[in-house]
Amino acid sequence: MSRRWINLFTHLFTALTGMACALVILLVAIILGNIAYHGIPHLSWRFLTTAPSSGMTEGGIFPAIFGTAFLVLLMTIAVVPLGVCTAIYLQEYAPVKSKWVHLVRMAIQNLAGVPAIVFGLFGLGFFIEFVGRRVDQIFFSGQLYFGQPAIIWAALTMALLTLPTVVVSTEEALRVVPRSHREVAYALGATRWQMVWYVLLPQAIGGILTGTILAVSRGAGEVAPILFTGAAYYLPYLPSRLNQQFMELGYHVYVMATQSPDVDATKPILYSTVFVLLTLTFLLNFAAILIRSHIRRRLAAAR
Amino acid sequence: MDKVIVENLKVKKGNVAILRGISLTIRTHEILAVIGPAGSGKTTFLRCLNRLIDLEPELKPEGRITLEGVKIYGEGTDVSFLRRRIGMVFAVPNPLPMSILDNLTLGLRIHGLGGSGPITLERVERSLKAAYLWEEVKDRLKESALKLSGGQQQRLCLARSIMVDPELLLLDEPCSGLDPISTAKIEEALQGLKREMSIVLVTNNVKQASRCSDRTAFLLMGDLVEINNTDQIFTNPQDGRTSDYVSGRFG
Repeated sequence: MSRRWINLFTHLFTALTGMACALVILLVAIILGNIAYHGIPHLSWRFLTTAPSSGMTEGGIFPAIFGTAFLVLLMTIAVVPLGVCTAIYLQEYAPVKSKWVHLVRMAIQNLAGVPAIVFGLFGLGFFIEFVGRRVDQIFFSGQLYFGQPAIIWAALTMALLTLPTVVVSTEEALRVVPRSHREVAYALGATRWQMVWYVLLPQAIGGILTGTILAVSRGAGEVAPILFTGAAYYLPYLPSRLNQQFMELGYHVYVMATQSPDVDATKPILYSTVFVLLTLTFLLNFAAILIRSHIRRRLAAAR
Repeated sequence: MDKVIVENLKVKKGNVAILRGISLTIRTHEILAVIGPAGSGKTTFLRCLNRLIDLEPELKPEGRITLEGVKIYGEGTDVSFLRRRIGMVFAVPNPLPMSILDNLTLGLRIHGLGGSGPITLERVERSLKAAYLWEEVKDRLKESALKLSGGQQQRLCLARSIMVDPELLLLDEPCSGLDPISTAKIEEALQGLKREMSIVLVTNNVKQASRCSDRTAFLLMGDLVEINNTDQIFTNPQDGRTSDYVSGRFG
């Protein structure tokens, strides 16, 4: 091929990739712009701090904001220890190249590919129908306390959904710690657990937080897993116990978009809710990134 | 006085023999140099002594090693305590990505001996002085260990390994990547340390063995060719292969 043709292809390819990138940015800008344009006018302090009223056509979304934050918090408390421990086991304790470990890794990767709605159904079948019912039978002599949709079950279901993210990123962070660092600890007489605690975890904390960030922003955005496991259409009170239902922003959006008695009256509220949901997700992400960079800087100072 | 007695130590990797029956003793308050060309099993020998070889399941040591009469591969050996008694410095300086102080106190924390307080700081100072590093880092103990130069890092690793008062110190080519001045400082430090412990110095550098060891063992292809007082090894070797190696005719 002549030099002229090669140059032509080079320019063409540059233009193509550039246009693809521009298209993505344009789409994001249109979506965000549209939501901001329609959503911001209706925003007010009242909107953020009051409950919906008059069949969702008036009032605010405070219960949904509260429920989302509560849900994500519970989910994080559940998923981070479980995911980090799983990753530590797979990376440090499990015998290398064993069939069992291979199987567990494959299972975790497959978990990441399961549709969210399946997690929702699993949560209903396992947590509520099985675990919750058993708890009620054993501790509450069959009265209905935990055998019903509740924020704890929704959070645990969401934790299962985000588990692969935490496991994979933690494993990645552990894998990059050089072998020589492990040997230092062992040569000083560290047990395996001490090696993990003193050497691996301090170095892996950045990766663990990255996984947590991804899990949190996914958890704040998913609706399907909580559909049957705890999200409520409307609640006159805020959840104060783990076995109560809750309102959630994503689900609230879905409800207002599909079940509203008066679509036109709901529309401005709907836009504002979407705007708040996006902002909340961004803020959560942003906070997590800040924490991570703070820790990275502290680590770098020690480096 | 014999600190460590090694009897017929064999290590195999699959069908390949890495060590073919090593027998020697390590005396108290001596520096035993282990020399030999690359691949002769020096590092493997060293890693058998503190059981770091356990980390490589495909290597199975056979034979008998005793530390003050107690088998280190015996049933119920407390490996953690064993490695507290036997310190190790690696070929490549490997400070952990934390402060100089945290690096030094790691061993104390592992063995539940505290990690702060005046007694710890006293230990830190003593170890750093013994490793000829105190003057250079005394004002920056909270700084990252990775900011130190290569030679300083290796002396920090030396100081770290003697923080828990080992009786035996294993050094695996500790000066292989260092400049002559850093090397001299480490050799000087070893002369001071041997008053308190036994030292096994694996080295690629024949001159280093002749400079600073009391006795020298020559390993070749997994065999112990000769072990004797260092001046004997260098002036009057009994084996032809030894004289070839120490005079630089091969290896």
